[in-house]
Amino acid sequence: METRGFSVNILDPRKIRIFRDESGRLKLIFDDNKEVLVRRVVRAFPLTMPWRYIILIDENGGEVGLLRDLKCLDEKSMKVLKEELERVYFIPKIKKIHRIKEEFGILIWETETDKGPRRFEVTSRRNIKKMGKRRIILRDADGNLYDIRDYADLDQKSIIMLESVI
Amino acid sequence: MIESENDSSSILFHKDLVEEIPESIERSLKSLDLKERVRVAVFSDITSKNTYGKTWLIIAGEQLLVYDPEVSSNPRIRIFLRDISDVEIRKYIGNNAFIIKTQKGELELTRFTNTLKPKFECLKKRLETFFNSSWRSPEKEIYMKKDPIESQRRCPKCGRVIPPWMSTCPYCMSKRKVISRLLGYVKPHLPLAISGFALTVCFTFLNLLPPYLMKILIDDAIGNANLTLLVWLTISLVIIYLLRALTAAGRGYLLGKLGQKIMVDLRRRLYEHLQVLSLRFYDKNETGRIMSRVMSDTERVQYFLTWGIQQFFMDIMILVFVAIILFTMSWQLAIIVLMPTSILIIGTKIFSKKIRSVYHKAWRRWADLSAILADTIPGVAVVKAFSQERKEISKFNRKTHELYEVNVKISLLEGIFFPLIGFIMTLGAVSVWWFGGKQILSGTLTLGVLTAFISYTWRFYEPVGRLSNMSSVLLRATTSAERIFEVLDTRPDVHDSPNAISLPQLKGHIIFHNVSFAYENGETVLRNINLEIKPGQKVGLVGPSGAGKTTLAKLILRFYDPTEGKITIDGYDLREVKQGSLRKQIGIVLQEPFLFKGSIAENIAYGNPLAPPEKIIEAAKAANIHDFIISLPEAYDTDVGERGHRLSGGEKQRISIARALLRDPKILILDEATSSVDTATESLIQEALERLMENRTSIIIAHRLSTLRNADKIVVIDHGEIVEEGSHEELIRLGGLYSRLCRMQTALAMIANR
Repeated sequence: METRGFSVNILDPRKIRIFRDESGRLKLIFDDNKEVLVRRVVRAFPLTMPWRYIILIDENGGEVGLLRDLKCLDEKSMKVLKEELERVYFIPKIKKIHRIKEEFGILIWETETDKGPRRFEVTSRRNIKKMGKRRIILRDADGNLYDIRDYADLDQKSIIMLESVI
Repeated sequence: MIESENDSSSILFHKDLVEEIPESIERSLKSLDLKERVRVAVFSDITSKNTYGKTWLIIAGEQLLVYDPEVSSNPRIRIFLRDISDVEIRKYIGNNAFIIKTQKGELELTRFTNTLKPKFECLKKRLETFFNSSWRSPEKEIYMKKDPIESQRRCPKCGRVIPPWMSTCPYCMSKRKVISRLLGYVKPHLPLAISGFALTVCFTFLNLLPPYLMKILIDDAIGNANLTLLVWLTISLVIIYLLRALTAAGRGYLLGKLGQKIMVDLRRRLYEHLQVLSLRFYDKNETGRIMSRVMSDTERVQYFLTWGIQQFFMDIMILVFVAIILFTMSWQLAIIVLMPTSILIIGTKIFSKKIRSVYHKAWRRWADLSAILADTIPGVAVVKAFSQERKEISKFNRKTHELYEVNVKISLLEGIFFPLIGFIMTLGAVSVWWFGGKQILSGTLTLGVLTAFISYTWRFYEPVGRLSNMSSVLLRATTSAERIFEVLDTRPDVHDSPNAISLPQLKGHIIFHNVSFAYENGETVLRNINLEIKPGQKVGLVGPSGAGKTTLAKLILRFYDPTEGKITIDGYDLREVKQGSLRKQIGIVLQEPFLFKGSIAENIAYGNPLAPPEKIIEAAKAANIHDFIISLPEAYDTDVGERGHRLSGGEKQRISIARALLRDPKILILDEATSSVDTATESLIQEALERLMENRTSIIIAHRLSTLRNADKIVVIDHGEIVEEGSHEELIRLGGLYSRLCRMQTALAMIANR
């Protein structure tokens, strides 16, 4: 148990099933009927590859294994895991920017996200992180995250407002 | 039983945790006969459908209910409080889950974004107190009073986020108060300020005279062919220009001196206060930010206090005087002059707003560029080794191009604005020529008056432009001032109480009485620590990184005060003794030894600047570094360079041991003192440390358990709690975390020796 292997235990998506038990806990069952309670799901690359390289952690904090791609799971398992990931990683995608107002150095954003309308404050331009050419990750004053996948996909008005702050 | 229930409900029932319940839920509560018994009603901001929206968490009577009004008007979850054993807030990414534990397992009530975290933290605390109310102790109550809601960086008045670099909400802050406080810094140098101002007034007057003399020159001297007058006028003009030059020089000198005096004052106060402030302040603020406050914010404030304010008054004076002169000379022409000013004011306002955002952008691009340089130049060896030169060049080129684009935009904006403003001003002047010219032709105006008038016109437009930009100058200055005042107003968390006593010579008997500690962010690092360290004992602190070992050591130094419980040394509560008298008797050797610029001798004598040279050498010998030092050409006078970069890790470590030895402390803290050096050096250091620990109470934080072979007691800490305590043998026999760690290290050592 104490030997620390550095090799990644890659889970074969055809040999596992993921489901919720009657009390709502996330469980993984191998094809040999071995059951593991999944305490935590972690994205290894939450920003660049949110649906790939998912690490499952058991209740003792040990790594159950790594799932290469969510898509390779069977339909039901995929749905359960996808839902769990979407719960754990609440990073709304910004669809439209109504207004960016600057007040005493703080940017107040009024936006439309895929999770509904949202108004938030960004305290520093350091919290507007540019990833690659046109992707932007925002962190608000309270530590919530927002994602603009490709700002070229926004409407013209939103782009102009966005460009004035980046 | 009933009585105790009333008692606990008073804790839960607090108006800030009862929010206005929507009607549909109120109806449902009524039908359940719970409406009158609502103790807590809070909403979260994520629905069960994983979108933004309200979910309600209500405690009414003996029940806890969760409503999802968008889905149903009936409670989604209904549970009796007595069935709940524990509450937990589980931190996810961008949101959190509020979870209760019951006999049947865990149940997630709702999720909420980080924005609502303080509210739910508060609720969690209340619930915990409620569940534990049977053994509630008085200390617990005191802790309760500190509501986490307070610690959030939002203005209590308007709910706006307070910028991280400010202490109060800038929206609600009174500008006048800040300025009047700022002016307080001018007060000690009042004579200087007044004489400077007097010269400013003189300068302004002298500046207004020449056009008037010009009028006399043209109309009376030249017009009437009066040579004597011409001579006198020429002489007076020379004198006026000379006086103007002299006043300008004097003014520059006086104001410059005033500015420097204010700055010295501000910087000294800031630095003094920074030294007094507790570590908590430095945890919260980055070094770079603190440095910019000491350097650039003071600079900006002094500039405003000297030049800014004087310029402001001067501009107003010029404006008033010139207006009076213009109107007395010819009121019709004066009105023409006034006409473009409104365009001038509006134009400047629009332009400065526009250009400021572009300047900001340019500044950001520029910062990007320098960040690349700061990143790659020190790492050039890596770039070359991985042959990534091409990639780095293209990255740099891309950023350079972005900067180029913004700078071109600036050139364009400035290129349009300044000529445009110039054109508007000339329009004013040209109209004066036109109307004035007509008046000259009709004989109602003289050429001299017109010439003077045109000169005054130009002098009028200048301050108009500057004044219309005044509000932004003022805003920048007050922001800087606020940042400085924030530091000056921060009270050190750890401070000597007025009746603090000076510690006598210590024996070194340390006791932790049920100590808990949480950092600013509310994260509890130590929980209910009870620990006794007897005089002269060597105690090892062991545990995974992040378990709270270093924090525990810092509490002994009183870098922080415990959130709960107390620490005593020889029976003295640390909160009741003078910090200086405590720290004087504690020596510390850190994992990363910190050396200051200066010689080796100065560094060894850092805590005892008066130590005689033989003591320094003695300490160096005991620290096993003497032989190395005298092998250097400049021996003890060798400069260690900035942060000691000319020495190796092991050498620096031994110098810091010598420093601790020279101090001859009663209590010694070694924070992973050997973890950053190789095995050969380790034995040298280990030997030095053994000598250092003789007859002292020692607390040794160690990753390498081999360093603890001589420890009297080993304390194992995990997740902020003491999990095991005893001698090496006892702990091995126990077969817990310590024995596991030991086995792991022996296994690693075997690999290393292979």
